[in-house]
Amino acid sequence: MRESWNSAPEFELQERYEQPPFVQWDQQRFKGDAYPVYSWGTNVVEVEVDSLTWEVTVKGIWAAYDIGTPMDERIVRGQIEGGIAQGLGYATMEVMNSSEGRFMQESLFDYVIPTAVDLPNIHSTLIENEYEYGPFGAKCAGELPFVGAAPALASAVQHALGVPITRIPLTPDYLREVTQGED
Amino acid sequence: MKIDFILNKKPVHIDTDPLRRLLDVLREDFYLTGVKEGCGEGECGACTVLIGGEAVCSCIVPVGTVANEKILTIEGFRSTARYRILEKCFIDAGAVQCGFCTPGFIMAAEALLSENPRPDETEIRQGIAGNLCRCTGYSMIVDAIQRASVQGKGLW
Repeated sequence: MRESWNSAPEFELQERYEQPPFVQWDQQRFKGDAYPVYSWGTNVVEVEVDSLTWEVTVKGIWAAYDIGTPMDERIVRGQIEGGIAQGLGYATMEVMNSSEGRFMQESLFDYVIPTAVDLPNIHSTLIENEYEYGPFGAKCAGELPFVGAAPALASAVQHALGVPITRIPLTPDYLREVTQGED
Repeated sequence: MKIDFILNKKPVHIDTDPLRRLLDVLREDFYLTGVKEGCGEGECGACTVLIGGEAVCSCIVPVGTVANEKILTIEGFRSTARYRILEKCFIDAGAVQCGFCTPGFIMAAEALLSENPRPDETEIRQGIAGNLCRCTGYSMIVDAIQRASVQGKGLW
């Protein structure tokens, strides 16, 4: 590609992706393990639930991840904290429902997302575990930080209230509903 | 309507519909595109400018109301020592990801530190509660402002 860069106004280059030998995947029969690389994470969320207003306050968040060797630790930390913040918003306040095929929330006025006062400091740790086949030892961190926060928060609220929590977001309306009969 | 105001320390004069949003006047008439439009309804703070030192969402300010006011945007703030400290601390703390909210956060930080040069974590979080960020989870922005208040000692 570099050689033909300036010689012609247009050029075509074709290359075929070859999966590395450790990937056991048969593209013809669609069998095997196409995604052998797993990143791992664990989240702990501490909550306080107001038994009068049913508001949930997040008191603390701790998270640990194995994403191989991070290529840029600061960017990864940002990705982790942003993902957790989105996950906690998803679990507590981000209500999105539809009526006759239309979303009932149309803007940031009625689709409320967390501000700086809705979240405490996020404590995150990386467990360095070099991944042999990854670039510079890395695995992925993309959406991993997002997926753990909401179930961790829901489990914490379930633990606090002693009633099963089966959906999110944990709005005061929903928590009042599931605890009725307990009073 | 003829409107005079001070924009980034220089007197300016425009003749326009007084109901136009200050945000649009800044972006379209003065090409100050560091002022961002996020939600357009005063929720997200991406369009934050200082009017008389106070952080305001320029998307909900009719330009007719700023006659004779002093307006500071990120472009005007850039030439100051305070900006340079904030910029450095935002970089060092990793407080910028996609960057769209950053000019608004910098202006909110300037307004906060001008009023309270040594804010604690709670005060910083309250000071930036009018600005939304979807990338960082806020901790690194809080950290950046904390660093700026220490490293910029005496500037605010």
